[in-house]
Order: sequence, then C-alpha cells, then structure tokens
Amino acid sequence: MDKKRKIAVNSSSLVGLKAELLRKQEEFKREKLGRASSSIKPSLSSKPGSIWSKKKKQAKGHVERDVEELQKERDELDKSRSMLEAKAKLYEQMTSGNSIPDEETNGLFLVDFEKKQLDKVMKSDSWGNKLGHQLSSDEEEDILTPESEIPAPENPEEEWVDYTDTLGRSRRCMKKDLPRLIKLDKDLNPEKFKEESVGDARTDEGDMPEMMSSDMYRERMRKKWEQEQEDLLNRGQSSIHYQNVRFDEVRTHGVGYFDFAKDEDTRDEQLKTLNYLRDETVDKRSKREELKAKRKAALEARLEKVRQRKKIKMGDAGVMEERDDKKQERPVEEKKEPKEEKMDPNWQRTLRLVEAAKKESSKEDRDWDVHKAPKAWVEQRAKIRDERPTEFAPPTAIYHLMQRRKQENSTNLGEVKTHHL
Amino acid sequence: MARKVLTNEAVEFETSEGVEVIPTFDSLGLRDDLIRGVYAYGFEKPSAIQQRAIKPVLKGRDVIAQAQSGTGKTATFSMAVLQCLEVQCCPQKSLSGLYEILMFTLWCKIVAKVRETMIVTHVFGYGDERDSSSNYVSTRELAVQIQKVILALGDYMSVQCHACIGGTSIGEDIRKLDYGQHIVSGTPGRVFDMIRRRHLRTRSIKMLILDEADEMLNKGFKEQIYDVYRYLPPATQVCLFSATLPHDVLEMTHKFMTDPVRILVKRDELTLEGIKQFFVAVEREEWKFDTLCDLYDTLTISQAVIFCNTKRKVDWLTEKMREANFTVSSMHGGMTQKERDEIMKEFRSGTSRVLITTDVWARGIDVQQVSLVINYDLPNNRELYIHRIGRSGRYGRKGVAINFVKSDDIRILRDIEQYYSTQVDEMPMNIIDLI
Repeated sequence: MDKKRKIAVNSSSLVGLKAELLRKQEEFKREKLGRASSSIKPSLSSKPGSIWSKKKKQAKGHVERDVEELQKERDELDKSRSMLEAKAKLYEQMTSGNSIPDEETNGLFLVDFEKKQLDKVMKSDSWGNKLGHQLSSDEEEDILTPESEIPAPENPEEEWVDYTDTLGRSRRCMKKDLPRLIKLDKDLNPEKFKEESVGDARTDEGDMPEMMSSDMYRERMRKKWEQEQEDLLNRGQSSIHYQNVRFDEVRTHGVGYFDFAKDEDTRDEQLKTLNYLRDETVDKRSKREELKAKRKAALEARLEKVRQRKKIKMGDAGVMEERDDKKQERPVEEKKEPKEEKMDPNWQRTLRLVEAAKKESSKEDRDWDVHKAPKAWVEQRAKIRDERPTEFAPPTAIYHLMQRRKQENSTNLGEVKTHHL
Repeated sequence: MARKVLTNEAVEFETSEGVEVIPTFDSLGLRDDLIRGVYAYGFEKPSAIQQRAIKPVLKGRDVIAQAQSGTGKTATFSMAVLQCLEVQCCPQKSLSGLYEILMFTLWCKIVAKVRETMIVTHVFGYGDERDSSSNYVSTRELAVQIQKVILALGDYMSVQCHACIGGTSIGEDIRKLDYGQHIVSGTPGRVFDMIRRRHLRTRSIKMLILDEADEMLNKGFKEQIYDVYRYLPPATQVCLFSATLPHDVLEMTHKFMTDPVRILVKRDELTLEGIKQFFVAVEREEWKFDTLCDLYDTLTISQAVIFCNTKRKVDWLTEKMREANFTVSSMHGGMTQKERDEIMKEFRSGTSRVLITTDVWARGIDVQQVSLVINYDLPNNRELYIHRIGRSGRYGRKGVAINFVKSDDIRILRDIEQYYSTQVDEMPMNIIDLI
C-alpha cells in the first residue's frame, strides 16, 4: 500500500527542492572555501574560549549574515570587473580603429584619442621617410611627439619637421619647405657648411670617433703608430725629425713650439715661411732699435745744448751770445719739424716741452717769479762778497771790465729786441 | 757602511773650483737655430746643471756632471753636443773601400766640418744582451728618448741622430750608419757590434757621453764600455752624467778621463723638495695588493708607475689587478722590443695611465705626467731608490712616492732616509690632495 501510495509532488515543488539543495551545497562549498582562507574570516574558525563561549552562541546568526555580505561583495566585484572589461573593449576599439574619431565623440572621453591617433600616423610616416641629414637624432625625437595643436598631415610632404640652423635657431616647417630653408641657411653661413662637410669627410677617413671603448681606442692608436713607424722606415735618410718620432706623446712645449708637418715637403715649406717671418721680425726689430737710438741721440744733443746754455747764463755770460745761438738754431729746427710730425706724439711733446723750457730759461724774470721774494741767494751772495777780505778779492780791473761788458750787452739786447719787433 | 763612508772622506770628490754659472741660454752663446729649438721645447731658463755643465763641455773639457733626477741632464749634454756640431751642410754619404783611402787626406780636412759623429751611450744591462733573471734590464727606451730630445732641440738644425739599440733590425742600423749620422745614441752592446762590423767608424768620433754613468761603469758593463772606448780616437772628449755617482765610480774615472771638470751634488741634497715621500706599513706581503687596490683612484689622477723587483712579480701583479677589474699595463725586460715600444707609446701618449714595471724603468725615462711612483717592493740599493722616485716630479713638477714596507723593510727605508738626509713619513689620509 505504501508502495502504491504515491506522494503527489508537483513539478514546481521539485524544482524548489532542487534549488534548495543546490543552495545548501553552494553554501557548504563557500563555507569550506572560507575556512581554507582563514585569514579573511577569522570569526568563522571557531576557537574554544571559556570566556567567549557564551557570546559565540549568540553569534551563530552572525555567521550567516557574514556569508551574505560576502556574497554581495563578490557580486559587486564581478560587476565592476565586467564593467572594466567592457571599458577595455571600448578603448581597444577606439585606439585600434585606423580612422580618427570625430569631434563629437572626442568630447565624451578624457583621453585625447585624436592625438594618439595622430602620433601613430606620424610615427609610421617618419620612419618611412628619410629626413635631411642635418637633423640630429634628438630632433627626430621631437618630431615623434609634436604638439597636439598641429593638425595631421594630409600627405607626407606636409608633415611638420623641426630643424636647427647653423646659428643654433630651431625652426619648425613643412617638410616640403625644408630644402628651401637649408639653402637659405647655406647662403647665410657658407663657412659653417664647409666645416661640416670637412668634418664629415674626416670621419669618413677613419679618424677617432668621439665615443669608443678604451680597448678600441688603444687598438686604433696602435694601428696608427704602426703606420707611422712604417713611414719612418720608408722615408729618406735625412728626413727624420722630432715630429716623426713623437708618436702622440703628451708633452708641454714652449710657446715657441711649432708642430711641423710629418711630411718632408710640407715641413720644408713651413720652415721656410717660419724663417721668413723670423727674419722679418729681426729686421724690423733692429730697425726700430736704430730709430730709437737716433732719437735718443738727438734728444741728448739738444738737452746738452740747453744745459750748456744754462751754464753760460749762470756764468754771467752775455745774453747776446745766447740769442745768436738761438738764431742759428732756429732754421735747423724748422727744417727738422716736418720730419718730426711723422714721429710719435710722445716725442713731439717732449720736444715742445724742451723748447718751452728753453724759452723760459732765457728770460731774466719768468712770470712766476714776479711775486716771489727777492732772491735770497743773490742777497746772500752779495753779502758774502762784501764780507770778503780785500786781499783775496780779484783785482779791481776785472770789475771794470765786467761792468763795461754788461753795458755793451744791454745796448745790444735793445737793438736785437727792436730788430725782432 | 758608516765606516766605509769615513774612509772615503779622505779622498772625497768635490765640485771643481771655478765652475762658471751662466744664468741664461742667451749668455751661453748657443747658436741661433739651437736656441730656437731650446725655447720651443719648453726650456726658458737653464736649470742649475745646465748653467754649470754646458760651458765646460763646449770648451772641450772632460766633464763629470751630477744633478738631481729630472733637472735636465739629458738636455744639458744634448745642447752641448748640438752646439758642437756643424750641420750647415748635409752629412755626406760615407766613403768606402778604396775611395776612402784615396780621399784620406781630403777626408781629414773635411771631417770636422762634414761628418762629425758623436756617440751617446748610456745605461744598459744584462737583459738586452742576454736574457737573464737579473732585475737590471737595459733601457733601450732611454736611447730612443735621447734621440727624441736631440731631434726636438735640433728641430731647426737638420740634425741626424740615430738610436742604435738592440732588439731592432741590424740591417736598418747598418743602412742608417752607412748614410752617416751626426749623433748616435745607443746601448753599448749594439754600438760595439756596429763598431766591430766597421759600420760605425770611430775615426771621426769627437765625443763619448755616458748617460746614467754609474750604472754603466758597474760590474759587468764596465768591460763593454772599455771595449767601445778602446776603439775611439785618443783625443775623444768623455763626459759622464748621472743623478747618482757613487764613490767607486768616481774613483775609476781617471782611467779614461783627463783632468775632468766635476760638478757634483752632495748626497743630502740629492732628493728633491718637490717629491714627497711616504710609506705604508703592511704587515704581510698579501696586504700590499689590497693597499694598491685602495690607492687605485689616486693612481689614475694623472699617471703612475709601480715598481716591483722581478719580472715575475710584475706579471703576477698585472694579472691580479686585471682580475680585480683594474686597468693597468706592464712592461719588463722579458718582453719583445716591439711590445715594449708599444707600451711606451701608450704610456707616453696617456692611453694607459698605470704602469707596473721593473727597474727597466727606473732610470732616465721622462714622462711629464707621472706624478706618483709606488715602490711595491723596496729597491735593492739606495741609488735605485733615488732613480725610481725621480720618475715623478719631472723638471720642477710636483711628485709623490709611496713605499710599501713590511715590518722588516722599515729598517731599510730608515737607512735610505738617513743616507740622503730626507724624510719619509707615514702616508696621510689626504694623499690625493698632494698629487
């Protein structure tokens, strides 16, 4: 009977039961998982504690609540994850698309997709096209990241490039304009370009690059020296000089050191030039010395004359003679004058000073002597002479003679003066 | 040792009386093209030895000249030799065989004018002539250096100077000598060889100069010098130059010099003020290496030379330094001439900065940038000490010498200190400031 008796179960309750079972199973699983990661939920791991046992009973319901919260958290995490995934998909779509997004969509996003797109295009273009050889690598880098305000080029010729000219000014221009700008620069500063090309040529010849390892440098130097050594053996017997055996020795030479060329012919030429210059220097130097000596002699002679004149005057010599002297000298000096104008101004000034001194000394009373007290020495001298015992005095005849001469002189002077006037 | 010094005092050699001091190059009366070379090379005012020794050499006197290391001895005799030369005309092609005999009378007349050959011989050692384990190795490099100096000073004179050294092609030497040279700078072994083969004809040799004379007149080398000397004309002028001239060397000079002018330096004045000397006390040999590594930064400030006593030790130290990732180069007499040349060029050009070497480098080598010398091992004699530390502080520059001493070495160092009346202090911490 029992067997016959069928429990009437409708499908909905069955599903409900099944759901309940699943829920329980899930719950159990979760609990198990939670226990495995004990650090996250320490409250779940029941630890026996005498004082807290009471509390534990009360917390029974709490465990369930915890599980619920956990579930909620998980759901949220899942949600945000799916959101992020969606976002990433969108982003990828935006960046991978070769077309540049239009203005409207652009406003929606904080990321400047336009610029990104632009960069990408530029990059592929700048690698594809060769730029002018003047552009250094860092300048190229500038091109890779141009400012956002520059619109994208429609064709490669309209691309913007940075270019630094020979004056060190950095410029930005369209690529199609670059050759024109370089040409302008060339016209402006041709030497610089020549230097550049020379420099290029030198590096082509295998001169030392700036950066190299010490081993490489050593190897290069060795090769260079070997070459020089070979040259040394091959060159003529009479043409081994200091420069041929130097081998890049570091040595401080004197200021006069001239690094002759290693090549014999060039060396001869250099030596010739050097000797010529030297001879010229020596020649000029000796000429200058001569001239100096001449001038000095002339000055000496003149000063001597002045001195003598002074002596004459002090010895109460007649002014007349002096005047005569002067007369004789004048024309000579006048003849000299034009020559002296060519001489240096210092010399002329000295001459003038000497001349002035001469004139001054020839005057009896110079203008700065006017207000001076009567000449002390003259008085003194007179006094001494007065006191002189007569027996030591010169014979009186001399006095007469001198007086007479003085009178003659004064009359002569008058004549000369009037004559001059 | 003290007793020996005492006995020596009875015949103490002193600077000759009446040695003139000439204060400028211009007043030395050197020829114009030589003066140009002298100033161009960087000399402005003659050093003490140059002021004293050039004149007597020019006068034709035999000269024994001593001066501190790096004060211009090489330049002294180079100037003197160049002044004596007459190089207006090119050195004539040598005349050989019958032609020479026929030309003999004429040759005698023109020899003084045209083919004046001088010989500048200098230090050498076993190493060049036969390879031995001796620490003294020839410095062929010195012969090359002398040639360089002569060419530099005679840059405006078209002078022919040949370095006649071992380890190079004999054929080349013969070619050069047959062409005719004004000055030959060489090591005695090769020079004697050339004389014996009659490629270096001694008839017209005017002057024999022994640089680093004490080393040359030492023990085994004396014979070779006498060999060369025997071939020279009796009137040959002989000059000796060295920073150190021990008494026994001075004693033997009367055998081959006539009434020489002596210009000597008392040994308490032989060390230079400019070269500061220090020591580092290490307890054990192994510690030297660590000390050296610690000092490496100091070494590379300019250039440095590290002296060891044996070739083997040089090799060992070089290897060890390289293992520890330090850049060093090394040189000793066991290397081929080509290797040695290369290392010299590298060091002179500043391509390498630290050189580990033996006493091959102790004498005469002049590299201006060397400001530090390290005696990894103390030298075997006092003279070598002076020469080693003299690799730094060239021509008035500053220099530092550091001696690594084990506890039993200190006694030796104190002996050196006392002998030269100098001062060797313990190395201070601020050693880097002194270089």
